[in-house]
Amino acid sequence: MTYKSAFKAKHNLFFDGAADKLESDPGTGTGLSNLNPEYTDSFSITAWVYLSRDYHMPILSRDSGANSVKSWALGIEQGGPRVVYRMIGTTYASTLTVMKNNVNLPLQRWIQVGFVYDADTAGFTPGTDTTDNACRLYTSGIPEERVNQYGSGNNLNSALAQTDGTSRIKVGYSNYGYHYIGQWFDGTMSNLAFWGQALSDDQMAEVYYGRNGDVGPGDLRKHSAQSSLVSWWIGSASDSTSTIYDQIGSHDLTATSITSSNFVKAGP
Amino acid sequence: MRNKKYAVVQTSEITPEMWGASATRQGMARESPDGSLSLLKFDGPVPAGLEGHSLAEIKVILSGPEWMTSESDHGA
Repeated sequence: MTYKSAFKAKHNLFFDGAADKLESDPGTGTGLSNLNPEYTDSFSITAWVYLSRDYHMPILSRDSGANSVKSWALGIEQGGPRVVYRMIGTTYASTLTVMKNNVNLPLQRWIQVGFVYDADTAGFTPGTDTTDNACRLYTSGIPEERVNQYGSGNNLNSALAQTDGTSRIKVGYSNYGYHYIGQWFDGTMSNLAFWGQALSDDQMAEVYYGRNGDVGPGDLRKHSAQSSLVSWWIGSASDSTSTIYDQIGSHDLTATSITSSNFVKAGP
Repeated sequence: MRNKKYAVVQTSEITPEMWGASATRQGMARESPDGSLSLLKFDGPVPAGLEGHSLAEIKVILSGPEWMTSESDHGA
């Protein structure tokens, strides 16, 4: 593995767990460029998070309601906390994926989290097999042992990803489902990214060891898999209180209740 | 108080001036489940006539029954 050059900005965004949120509505167009994959599309999500409390807290989610992946979400589950991923397909019983890592995460420390959906996983048939066979979770660039859960009523909760009749990309909140109070991110995020490929273990580690091999978020435009980056947010000081810019693609996020004090200096 | 930058407002009583002073974007405020209440956040002072709350206070308010939904999973 070759680690790339230094990333200068320490750019992070605080979410107050009450009113702060980001969203964009790219419509119902499908495909990776719209962050709206089908089951046959491999993709990955990476982020750095600093958790203020142990609670149900969405990080990034997308509703579509229109294609084979109706909604997906990466978030935090209370009771650890753990990083959790949920994906809902058109056929609930066979394609619902709900999984979390098997180790409690620390509070008030920067943690890198990652998710990979690899549609080309050996022995996996997209749209037929349960999707969790093709999923991997990471923390600090390392593959995590995971726990899979299924069915409605489990505590991984619909707040993370639920078809709510919209097609929005949402960061830091969810407007539908289980426990409204649990639908707002309480903590800080940095370098949130959606990739249009299944990152390998080495590539995920490269996201973690971004600064010449030191721990910290790298400039993802210099990552060895940068050509597959679809969106990269909270990675540049060009953000404003009204717009968090997509540094790679076109999915700029509209900010609600973000003020200058939300931009935190200290970071991973 | 500078740190009391949150206010709970009757949604029907929010004025354009409140939106203008608020850091919350019009049409995107956090609302109570029945839509009757909206949470506004201000970068500067809370406008006269509104009761300002600190973040700690507002989290207590948001955990109250007016802001909570049932705990049903809503299916999948």
